[in-house]
Amino acid sequence: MPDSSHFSPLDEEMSAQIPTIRRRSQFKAAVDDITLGAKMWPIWLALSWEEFKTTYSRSILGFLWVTLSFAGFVFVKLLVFSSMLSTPDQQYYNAYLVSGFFIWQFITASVSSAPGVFLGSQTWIKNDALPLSLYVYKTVAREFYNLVLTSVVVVAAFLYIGYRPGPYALMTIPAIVLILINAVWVKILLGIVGTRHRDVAHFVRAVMFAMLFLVPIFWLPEQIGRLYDYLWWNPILHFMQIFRNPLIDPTIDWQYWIFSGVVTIVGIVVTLLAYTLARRRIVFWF
Amino acid sequence: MSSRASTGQVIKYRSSHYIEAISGATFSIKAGERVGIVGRNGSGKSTLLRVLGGIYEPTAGAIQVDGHVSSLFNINLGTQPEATGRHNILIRGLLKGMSRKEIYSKVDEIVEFSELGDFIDMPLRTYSQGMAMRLSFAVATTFSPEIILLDEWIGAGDMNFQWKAAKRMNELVAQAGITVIASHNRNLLKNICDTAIWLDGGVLKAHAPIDEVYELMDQHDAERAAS
Repeated sequence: MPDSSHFSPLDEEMSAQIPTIRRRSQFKAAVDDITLGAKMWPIWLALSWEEFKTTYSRSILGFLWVTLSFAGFVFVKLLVFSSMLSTPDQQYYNAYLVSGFFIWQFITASVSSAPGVFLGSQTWIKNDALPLSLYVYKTVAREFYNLVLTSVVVVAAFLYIGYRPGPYALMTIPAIVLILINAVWVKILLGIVGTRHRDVAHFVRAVMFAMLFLVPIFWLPEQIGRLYDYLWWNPILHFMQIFRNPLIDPTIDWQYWIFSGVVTIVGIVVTLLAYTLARRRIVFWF
Repeated sequence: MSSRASTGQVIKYRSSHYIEAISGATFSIKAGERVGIVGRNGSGKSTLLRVLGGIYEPTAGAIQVDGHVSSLFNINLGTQPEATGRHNILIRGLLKGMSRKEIYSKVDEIVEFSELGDFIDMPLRTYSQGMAMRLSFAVATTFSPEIILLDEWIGAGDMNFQWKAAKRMNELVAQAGITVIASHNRNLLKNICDTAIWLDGGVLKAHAPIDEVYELMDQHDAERAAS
């Protein structure tokens, strides 16, 4: 029977219980959140697919729009830049531009949307006690569908310009995997900061907008001379290169892999620390 | 009581403002209990529900919950407006950790309770408020119905819905489930709940059989009006 005495005295049964309820360590809770969320892949795949379909529902071409708009963009870029720049090897430059822009637009979309990753799912977060990382995986998956749809354009463009990648092209697969892993921590980290401080989303978008010209899409490293020594320190450049290099060069340049690997490890560690401190507070910041 | 209104307190600490929504609430709810959370607007009812649901972790003190919690704080609960009712059931079920097979086996039951008929295969955006509410309620009470937490909106349904909801709750209690509902609708709560928790300004004033709690509240209001 419920306690019928008013003004809630602490009954004996309950006071005996309270010391036994141990708080989980916040670090363990953060790690659990990330691993539990990953294990719930059937849920975030279904959710992301539903969201993706919703974006293009009631339009005749549906998600073909993703492919078409990217194709249009690439076509215009090739038209303007390959005729404007005097490069020794036109075919190489075209392949460089298309594949570089392809991976760039995934990275920039992923980073730009990162600060809003929790804000965008707040109705769910405020209703169900599920791992917050679930919504991160969901967003990464949805953006991955875009990547898959635009990859058709890259294949078509390579066929059109007659560029045939060598066997090293298989290295693009681990490169994509590493990029996806990084997308997860970037989203968690920026998601935390972006929920607390709403300026972050605008700031990140502005930075990514300007960065279009600071990453090797339109220019080749040897074209910009000394400036490249500074731009080399941009992590995004390395993630672009681990993907593009094996596709268009007959070698693997390990400097990019090493740099990307270090960034991945540092990023994961920093994110785990930030998540440990902030995870349970995020819901109060909405 | 003069400095404390019926809402939580804003606390200044190191140039930041914090809201103390609930403090000093100690209670236990036992299997089979149906609890109404009552109190004025801003007294901490929704916050308490979210703490019970594991969405807000308490900054002090502890909470222990044994059993699967199904919470329903928002009618729309992040449903997909373009997806059909059937697909939304699938999504909610997946979120509750059910397998597709388990979910499909429950669909008929949900359709029957929510009286949706052929609308179940229409996009959710075509639903009336009442339809969406019935669907949400049916889904929440069908999957993992051990502990159910419901917020205010439950009182917004028509008489038919409230009658059905009360009946459903009674069935669940037979399975020794726990129901916690926050509402201002006295008739609804009296139909569904056997006890009530009264919150005032984030402080737990009473946890007692529901009629006693309402008596205390009325007394309190009368005293406040007189002074």
